[in-house]
Amino acid sequence: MISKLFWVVPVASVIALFFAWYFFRQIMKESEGTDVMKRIAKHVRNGAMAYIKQQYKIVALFFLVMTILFAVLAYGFHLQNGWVPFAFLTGGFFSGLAGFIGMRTATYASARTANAARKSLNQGLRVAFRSGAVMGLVVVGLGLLDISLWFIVLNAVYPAAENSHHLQIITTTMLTFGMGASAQALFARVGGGIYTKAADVGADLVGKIEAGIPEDDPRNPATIADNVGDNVGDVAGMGADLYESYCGSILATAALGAAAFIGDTEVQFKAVIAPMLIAAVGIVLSILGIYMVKTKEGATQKNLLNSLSRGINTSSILIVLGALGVLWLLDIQNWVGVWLAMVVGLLVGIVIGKSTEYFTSEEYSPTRKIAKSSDTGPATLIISGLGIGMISTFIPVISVVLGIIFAFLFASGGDLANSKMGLYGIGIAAVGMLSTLGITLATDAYGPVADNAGGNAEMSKLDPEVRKRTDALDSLGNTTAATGKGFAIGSAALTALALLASYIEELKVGIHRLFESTTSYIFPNGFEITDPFQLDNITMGDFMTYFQVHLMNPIVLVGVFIGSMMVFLFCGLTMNAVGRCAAKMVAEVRRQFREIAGIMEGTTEPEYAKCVAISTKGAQIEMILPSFLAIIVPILVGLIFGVPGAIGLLVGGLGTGFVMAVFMANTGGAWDNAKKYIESGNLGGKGSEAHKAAVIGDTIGDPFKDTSGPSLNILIKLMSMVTIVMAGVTVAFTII
Amino acid sequence: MEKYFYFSATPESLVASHLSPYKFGNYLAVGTKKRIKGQAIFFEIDPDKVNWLPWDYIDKKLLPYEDGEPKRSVFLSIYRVLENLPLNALLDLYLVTDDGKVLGLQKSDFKMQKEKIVHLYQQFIPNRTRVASRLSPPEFMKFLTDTSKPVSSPKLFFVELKLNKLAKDPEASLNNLPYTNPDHLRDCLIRLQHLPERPTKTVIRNFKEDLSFRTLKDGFFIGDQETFIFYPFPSSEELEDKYYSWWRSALVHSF
Repeated sequence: MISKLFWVVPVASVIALFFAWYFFRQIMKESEGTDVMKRIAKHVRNGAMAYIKQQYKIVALFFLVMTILFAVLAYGFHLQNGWVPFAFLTGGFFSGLAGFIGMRTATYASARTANAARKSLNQGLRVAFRSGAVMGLVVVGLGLLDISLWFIVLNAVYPAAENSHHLQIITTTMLTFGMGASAQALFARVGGGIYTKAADVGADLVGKIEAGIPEDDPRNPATIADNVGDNVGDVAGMGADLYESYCGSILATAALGAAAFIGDTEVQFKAVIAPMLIAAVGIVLSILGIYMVKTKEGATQKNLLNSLSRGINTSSILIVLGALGVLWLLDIQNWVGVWLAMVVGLLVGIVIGKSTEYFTSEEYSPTRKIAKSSDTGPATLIISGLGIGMISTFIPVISVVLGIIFAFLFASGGDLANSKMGLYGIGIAAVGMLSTLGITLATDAYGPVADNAGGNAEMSKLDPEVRKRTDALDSLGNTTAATGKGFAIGSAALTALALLASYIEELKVGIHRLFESTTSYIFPNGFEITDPFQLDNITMGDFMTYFQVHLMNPIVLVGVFIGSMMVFLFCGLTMNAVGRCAAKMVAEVRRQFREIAGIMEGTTEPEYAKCVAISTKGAQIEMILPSFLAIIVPILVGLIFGVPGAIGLLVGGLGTGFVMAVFMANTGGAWDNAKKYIESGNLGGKGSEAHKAAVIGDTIGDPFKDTSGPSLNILIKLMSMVTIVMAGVTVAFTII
Repeated sequence: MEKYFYFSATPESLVASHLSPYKFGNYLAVGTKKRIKGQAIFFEIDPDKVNWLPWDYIDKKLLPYEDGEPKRSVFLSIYRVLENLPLNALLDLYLVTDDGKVLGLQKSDFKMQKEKIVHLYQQFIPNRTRVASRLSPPEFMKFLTDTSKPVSSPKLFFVELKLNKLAKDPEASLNNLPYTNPDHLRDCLIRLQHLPERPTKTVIRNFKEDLSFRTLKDGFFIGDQETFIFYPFPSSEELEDKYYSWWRSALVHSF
């Protein structure tokens, strides 16, 4: 019965990939429009491919080095499971593949969306949304396929039914593929984020501000790079990011499930496949939701918004019922409580989404207050934005706090001492949030496609009505994306917490492995075990005591400080990277305006490729240091300060990183929308003093919301993943 | 090569050129090497209606370059040009955005609003003063070109700017009006409201910036005591539909 149920997971992943292919074929049947539209789309596509090719070269080198390192640790020192190097590789590969397919689809879809928008708003939505759906379904399909394949392979090597430790080995080994996905995601997010903002800021600073030519004007040499940036940052970067979140939440929950029911293989198996099954049901419901997004010809923007909301809401409501069915069918211990934990996760996601909307939408007072502060200049606008951005962390943090408490209490049956079930509940809450990622990501990813379609329409000099329609689609995407962002941020916090708990399980596996070459293991507090099976009876609380993980141990505080500092160091490096790349872009655009005659008259085409090359090269160089630090610091902290330092690092990183991510995303979003509020005819409108101040705020906010902020979610989880993967080394070698 | 004659208001000058109005407007805004940018407002004039043009000078100076390139500009006058220009010589009016997009406006009849409201006028010639006034455009023209008064000029070129709700209620919100120092503007309008005997109130003595084309109300006015010529500015709907490229450029602001 249980074995049969598991096969739903790979089947669902294949269904997702089939529908992604089917939607892709539908998009490709559409016309790309006029020759000019085709030429512009080709420019963008080539630029995006050149970027991704360059990025994958560097990432491949990194993966090669890390795989060799893991192989040495596994086969040379026997400190890791021998599957780790391969799991790490596949995680990175599938994550990269998801980003690549999504980006490729988006670059094919933009001109087609613009062409479809020539007919009607609804036609434009259909093509753009199908493109977003390809991204959403490829992410969940490949994610679940990778999980299924590894589960099948490892289950064949370590039959779960034979020994309850086998499932623990399977799930903790699978977690390492999460590190591959996280590393790939970090490179994609940081590199893509630097690229897109350098191009955007560069194009705006010279094009809009100095040369006085509008956005997406073909006379601006950086305009193609700007459009390429939407694809590499907002599509490929976001796809890899959510692939990592999706897999991370399922894998961490599965590992916690294996740990919670050690000793009872049947119940343990159910707990392990429960998050996978919920995700599988979520795929089917996402496809159902995608099909519900349709309107009649001549639909207004409100009709379209209702249509999108109908798709998302239906999937979300049905997943609540679907998960209830899955948990009932599995009949896992306290299944109602576990289900309620998942419902708590969904509610937390919705609350964070609404809070994001409240603090960043021009419809509400916080953003209007920021806009009003522009009356007195850019300084007050920036102070006001920073202040409101900081205040905006209150609701998300309290929501997550309540979510953690209630998910824990529901899953543990109200028993605070039952931490294994409680933590499993927290993991399930994260899985619940991301279970309908297929459709929520579709609503997120179609925005950049609509944005690019607008750029294509503008550069191809299509009827202004087409641009109005693509703008309407883009704006629609921004509204629905707020909820998606809430789920992404909330799930990142809960997943990171689940990963923190999984770390303990990974430590146990690491100590188990040490017994292959030794007869005893002495914990830092002097407690000695002589049989690895003693570990089964050690509770999480005992483990903390044995490893001296308590606040009176200065090593823990050292880790907390380093973890908190990492967040700021990472943000600083990525923001400075945007500044440096943008400066190079500004210099190049100025040079072209100065040296190439006929650009301003539109008689000579600018050298777009040079701007694309500057952003590509700049992003590749600049992404190395922050990404390297995110990986090396957890390794060094583990080696120097041991388990207490590593846990402190993760706690510091999670606490600071989560709040900082919310702050940066909301501040940048609020500045952006404050500018839009003024541009829509308030406080003097375009060209007013208030507008000048708002443009400055928006430019500062760009790297906040599109580079550093979104990368923090990945930083938090990547540090956890690295710490988990290096757990075997940490328990074997520690300097202090 | 064909010869064109232009009366520029930014700054006041008379120019001869081989360039047609749209090319000339682009040249004025961004130059030949595109290292400059700046708004321009100019009229094309009918040379046959101007009896004082220095034809010898024009024939000598307005010659194509050796490589066949057209001569872009030969300045013919830079002082009291409007005063000396017969108004019937004025042809179309051209508005040029700072990145060189040109919009041509043609003369039309002016339909006066019956409603009594406060107006905001931006003068270009003879000076660039911005004035709030309870006078309608024809009344304002008469008022300032009445040479029997000490403060007057023989001819005047100005445009009316939007005041929206402020035209009736000086305390109303500014909303979409991007004027600098809005508190001062409001003070001027309130003062005008409280002093019924006063027809005008200076808002900005010398306006030094580029004009925000989106703040234009009905259009441009040029004339004297006898003649009142009106160049209507298209509605934003018409601009979006027919002159999108120019309008889009006009809405971009360089900071």
